[in-house]
Amino acid sequence: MTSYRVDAATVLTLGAGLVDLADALTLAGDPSADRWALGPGEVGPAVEDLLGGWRHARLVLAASLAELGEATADAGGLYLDTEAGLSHGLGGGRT
Amino acid sequence: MSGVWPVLEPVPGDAPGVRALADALEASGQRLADACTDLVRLRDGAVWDGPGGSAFGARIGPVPTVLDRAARRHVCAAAPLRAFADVLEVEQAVVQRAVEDHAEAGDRYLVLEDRAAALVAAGRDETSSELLTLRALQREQVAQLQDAEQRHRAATERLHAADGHCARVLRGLADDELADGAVYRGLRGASGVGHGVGSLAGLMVRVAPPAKPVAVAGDAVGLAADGVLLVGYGEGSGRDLAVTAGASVLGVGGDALRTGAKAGAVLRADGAAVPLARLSAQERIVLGMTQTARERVRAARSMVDVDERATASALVGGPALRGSGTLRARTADAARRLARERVDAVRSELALASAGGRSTQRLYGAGVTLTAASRSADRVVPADEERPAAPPPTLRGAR
Repeated sequence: MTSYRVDAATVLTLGAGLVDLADALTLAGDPSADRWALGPGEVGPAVEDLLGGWRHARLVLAASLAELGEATADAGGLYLDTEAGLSHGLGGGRT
Repeated sequence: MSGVWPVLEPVPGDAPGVRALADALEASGQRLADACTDLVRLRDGAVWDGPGGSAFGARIGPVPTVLDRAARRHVCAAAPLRAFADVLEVEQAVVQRAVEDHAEAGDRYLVLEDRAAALVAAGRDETSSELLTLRALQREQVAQLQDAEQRHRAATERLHAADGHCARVLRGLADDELADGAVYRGLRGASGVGHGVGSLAGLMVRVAPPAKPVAVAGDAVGLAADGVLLVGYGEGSGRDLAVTAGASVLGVGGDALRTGAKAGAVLRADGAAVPLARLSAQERIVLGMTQTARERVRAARSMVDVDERATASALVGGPALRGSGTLRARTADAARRLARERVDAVRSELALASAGGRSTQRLYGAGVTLTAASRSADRVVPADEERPAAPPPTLRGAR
């Protein structure tokens, strides 16, 4: 099985992306801000329910992603199994 | 006029705004899906080099499942919203035209009525040719009023139908495992997300563990923070900088709280703090976690890139010092500069925290207090005791 070695810096880049996503989830904002565009019908409340009705899971997910991102500071490198198509985008070197 | 015929109302809403929302939802969903894909691949196919990596892999756990559900919420909402935007755009225009036609016909009717009244006042009766002509013209306006009302009613009904259809689809998407109320069962059924995923009260425990008691400073926060920063940094030396660098790492929970307390406010150019968003305390806590994680990752990245002879400046995340002078002198200069920057920064931080109100100040107070506690613990070291040299910065040294 061919594997790729990915260095710690690349893993940290992944971690930075996870932290960015966590940040975006945390600051997803108040869905009512877009309510004006949706008119007076049921779509407005439905959008608010869709975007705002998972607030707890959103914040928990954000916290988990922040933790994962932070954990990449300790993660070091990794070996990627090419059969799983892992090397794409992570820039690993063949070992 | 409203006593004679109904006033037609325009339809609020903005189709381009709905499309922009759909685009944003789709992009957000794609971002969530991409993160899900990355984590699934790492969880299922990566072999980590060392225990830290293995621990990271194990922590991925069911996070991708939650990401996938969240991605579905966002991506699948885009199409019905775009369809609704199309209908809104068309029917809004129909309604608007009907409203204008209705208003114009009403105005013309009233003008004709004024002329008729003038003729009656001048002695004409309803059988006169002038009044018969005016009444015929008024009947035409009434017909136009009724036509406009019918077009308005039909367009409103079509819009109402599209609105109801879109809303049903969106409500269907919202009825998933992530929905508030059911999320506890969903996540705990999957053994939780990562470590300790549970209630938001749990988040507070994670960023402020019981081993580091949180003392809420409340109204005294300004004095406490100023004291900590001035004492801790005001006369910064190379050794103090090293101590503080270590303490700030230990006090990461405090940093998270303090960072979170500032969220939702921005400093204007004149220095006044303006709240931009009313983030809840919970959102601020999580935001503080993300900011702390970001700083940690950034510090770790700088450690990876920095060379083995890097200075104390690099240890706290800044660039390696350059230029002439001894290492000791350069370090002391960096310490003093950093101390000044931090004193300035904490004043801004307090202004930002104050902008969010009393709860923000309490949160900020908790963060500062935690940081102060960890730093105080380090400062019990006698002043004349030489501290060991800071270890060379490495990835693990970023802890």
